[in-house]
Amino acid sequence: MIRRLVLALDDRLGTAHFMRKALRKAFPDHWSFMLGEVALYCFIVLLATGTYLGFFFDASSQPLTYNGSYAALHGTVMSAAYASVVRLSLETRAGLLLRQIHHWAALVFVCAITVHMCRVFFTGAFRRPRELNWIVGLILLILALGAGFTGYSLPDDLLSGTGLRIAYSVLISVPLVGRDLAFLFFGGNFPATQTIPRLFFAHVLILPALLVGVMTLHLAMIWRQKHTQFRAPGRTEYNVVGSPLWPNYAMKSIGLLFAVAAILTALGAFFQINPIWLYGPYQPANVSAPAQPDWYIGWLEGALRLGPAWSWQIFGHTIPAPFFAGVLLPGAFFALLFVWPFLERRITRDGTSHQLLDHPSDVPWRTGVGAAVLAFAIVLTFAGGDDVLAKIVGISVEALAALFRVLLVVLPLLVGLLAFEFAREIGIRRNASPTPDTRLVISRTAAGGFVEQPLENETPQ
Amino acid sequence: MNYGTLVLLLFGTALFYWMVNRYNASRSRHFGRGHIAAFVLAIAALYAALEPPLEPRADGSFLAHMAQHMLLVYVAAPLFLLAAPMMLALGALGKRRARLLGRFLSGGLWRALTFPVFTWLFFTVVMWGAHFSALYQLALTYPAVHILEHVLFFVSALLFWQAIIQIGPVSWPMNFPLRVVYVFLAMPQSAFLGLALYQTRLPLYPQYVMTQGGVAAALADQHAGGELMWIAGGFLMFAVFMIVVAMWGSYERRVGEQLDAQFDERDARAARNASIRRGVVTGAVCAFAILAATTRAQAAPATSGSNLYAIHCSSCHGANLRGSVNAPSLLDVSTNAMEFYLTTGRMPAIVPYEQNQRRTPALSPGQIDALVAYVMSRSHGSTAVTLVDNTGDMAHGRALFIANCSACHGATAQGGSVGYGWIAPALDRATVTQVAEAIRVGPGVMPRFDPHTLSNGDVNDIVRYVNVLQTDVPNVGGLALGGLGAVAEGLVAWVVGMGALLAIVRLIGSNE
Repeated sequence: MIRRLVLALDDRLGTAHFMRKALRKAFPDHWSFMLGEVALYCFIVLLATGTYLGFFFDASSQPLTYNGSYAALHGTVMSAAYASVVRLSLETRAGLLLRQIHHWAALVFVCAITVHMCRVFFTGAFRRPRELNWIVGLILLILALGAGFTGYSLPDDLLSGTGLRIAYSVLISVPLVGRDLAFLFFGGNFPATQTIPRLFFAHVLILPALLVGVMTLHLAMIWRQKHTQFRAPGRTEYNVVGSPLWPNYAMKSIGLLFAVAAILTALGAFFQINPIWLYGPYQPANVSAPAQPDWYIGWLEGALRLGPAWSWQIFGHTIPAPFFAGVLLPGAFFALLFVWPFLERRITRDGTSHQLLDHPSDVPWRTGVGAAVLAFAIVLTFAGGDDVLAKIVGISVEALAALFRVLLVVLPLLVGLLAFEFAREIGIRRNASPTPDTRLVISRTAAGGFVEQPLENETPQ
Repeated sequence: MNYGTLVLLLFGTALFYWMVNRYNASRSRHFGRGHIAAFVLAIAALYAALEPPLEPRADGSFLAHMAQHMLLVYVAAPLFLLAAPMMLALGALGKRRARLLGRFLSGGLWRALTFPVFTWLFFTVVMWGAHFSALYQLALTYPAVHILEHVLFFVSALLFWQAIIQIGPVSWPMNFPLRVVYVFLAMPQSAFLGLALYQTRLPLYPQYVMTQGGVAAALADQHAGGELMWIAGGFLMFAVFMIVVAMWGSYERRVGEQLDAQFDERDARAARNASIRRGVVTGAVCAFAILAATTRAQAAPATSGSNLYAIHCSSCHGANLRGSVNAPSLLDVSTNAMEFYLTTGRMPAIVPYEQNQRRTPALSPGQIDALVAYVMSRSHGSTAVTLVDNTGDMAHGRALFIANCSACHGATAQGGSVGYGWIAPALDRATVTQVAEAIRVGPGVMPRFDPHTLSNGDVNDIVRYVNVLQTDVPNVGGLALGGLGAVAEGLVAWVVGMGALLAIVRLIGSNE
């Protein structure tokens, strides 16, 4: 049956040649190369669950009076968007489960992207010829953050409204174009009736479409440039050693898809996430505490919490505090990430192409810088939850904020230095005892016996 | 209530009664009524010293502790000797046992112990040593040491007094001039000890610094104890001195009268017999009546507001409710505030200045009612009680809760930190009444919402919603993760979600 179908396709489209090449393509095998796939499968789960949610979501700020099944909201005036999410959560069959899976998938999606990005960074996979794909990957990260934040904001509950209020304030803090930017995204002065429809459109069409498109580009470039591989006997800059796409790698990957779906479903089934019916509809006068964004926006929240209360007057324009912590800092952060491949090439004066990956201990200074930047982001992320931490550890928020300000400077330096020393130490040990090449060449003698001798010359395969 | 002591006292009384009966049955001369009365009084004094209300306060106040010791040493011990226990024992025990006891009483050990120079010095050393050594603080720390301390005081006092009250077998008979000197020498010793305590410049016992709530209060308490010893002790010793002198004066007359008395006794034997029995029965009934009365009086502190106030509140809020550096005045406290702080266990506080967290209440509901009634009888504060019945409008309550409460307590009522180390507590265990009281009172840094801001109906609605949050109904969708929101969710995403996926990836991926 399949055979006939394939033959029929080949007969008309001439696909057999491509298919044969594609199915036999070699994929280097290492567990850390599957991290990007985890992100990809999270995205697939997001698309699937999001489609279901889309049937029930009403992207409208139209006020209505709730009289659904949740008695504590009876008679409350709320936006149609919020009412539809409450209905989805508490009345629609499987609605809450799917919504929770969707939300958890979004969180784990960015987790996977982060870990994948770390793998790429610490192994030097971003080096020539893959600088472009590093940039494409960063764009994917930004799109993922955007998709996450817009999704977090759609329910129009008190918590997400607070987040939108902060995002609006950060946007209008941008000099000259801030107001226009804010109006573009929010459709008017906050809170605007146009906000939810715009966010919805971005969340269900623009951002997913871009994500799909850029992800395709990301994968196509991997396909074209071939995957990198770790240094090992028999692996050179000119070959790719791995298992063929079909059936080895494909089977593994399909298994991973099911694993990702299973774990996200388990999270959605057993862990409550964002109980919006408790927060209630957004009302600009109200705010609840603790109020945190999803974890991947936490570092921006932390930057705002730790940031200095500067307010500068430049040529009659006020540059308010959110601009420094909310725009400049993340701007500089992402700028550093974008230019890193070129920066590193400038520093190392190494413009050659690399197909073989570094071990993190091979380039201690890069490992040190990466660890320092990670520490910086982690301190900011924890600072975003300082009030929750303050209650848990039993010290005042003020003391904790002061501590985080010190840590923000000290910890990256400390962690960077430690990582550098650690990587160097490991590197010395690894180089001191290189893995012996244990492969043997077995040849048959004229007399009919066998002779083993170590492999001497490597030949490109 | 110290049941061990009570049982001991009851046992002593029963033993005494039994011995008096045996004594009277075996002797021609009946046991004196005065001795019985003295015994009953001694038991009463011991009870007063070792049982509530005095005993529990001794741990918190040097003055109370001093009063306790004075009762033991200056009242209970001489009364006990006046009851002539040795004489009674010798008469009541069987011949063989009485002979054994007599041999002991005439032995070297007993003679050494009762040698007046030794008893005087021993008593003095115990009195001074107990107050100016670590023993006192140890006794406050360890109940067993405290009991030992009391036994030591009582025994040393018995030995001291037996040199003066020479009833029964006496190993060192002292004539009256010697006894006068003995007492006279003891007077300055006791007065100087009182003065020494009165003039201390630093608290001697760390325990009282803690219980009195500060060095100054502990010092004042210590001085009061010293004063008690100096003045009351001085008067007592002076009274004893005068009595001994008076006894000396009447000595000859008494000796002369003794013969007559013996004849009289013989004549009135039958009548005496009956009356002594009556006396013992009356004494026992009296003892039990006193015990019952004081037990009631002891039960009373458990429900008497003023006692509860004195025990639990006065060290910080002051005996007159005016407050101190440690705590505010209670002269304008409201019923709502009293009930809120007491029923949530926040008061009595363990440490002043700290934010009081919810605890299991230290006082029973009955005690709380009594204490509230007592304080409110002196306070000018509002006695209005916000009545809630958990039938309010939960939707209206939800809107009010989100608008007025969630900024600190959180939308899920899980609590949060509100700056400068203050915590808005989780409301998961608060009763509807406590929530209502907190709204009206504004404990800690919480704003006070008066009826103009939130009507009684509003409060009723809010407590209804808080009660809804406490139930499982709104917590659909799995584990609520402590109601902490995105922080907890982020951790779960990383640890549970990403952690599991990393493990799986590591498992199915190769590690070449």
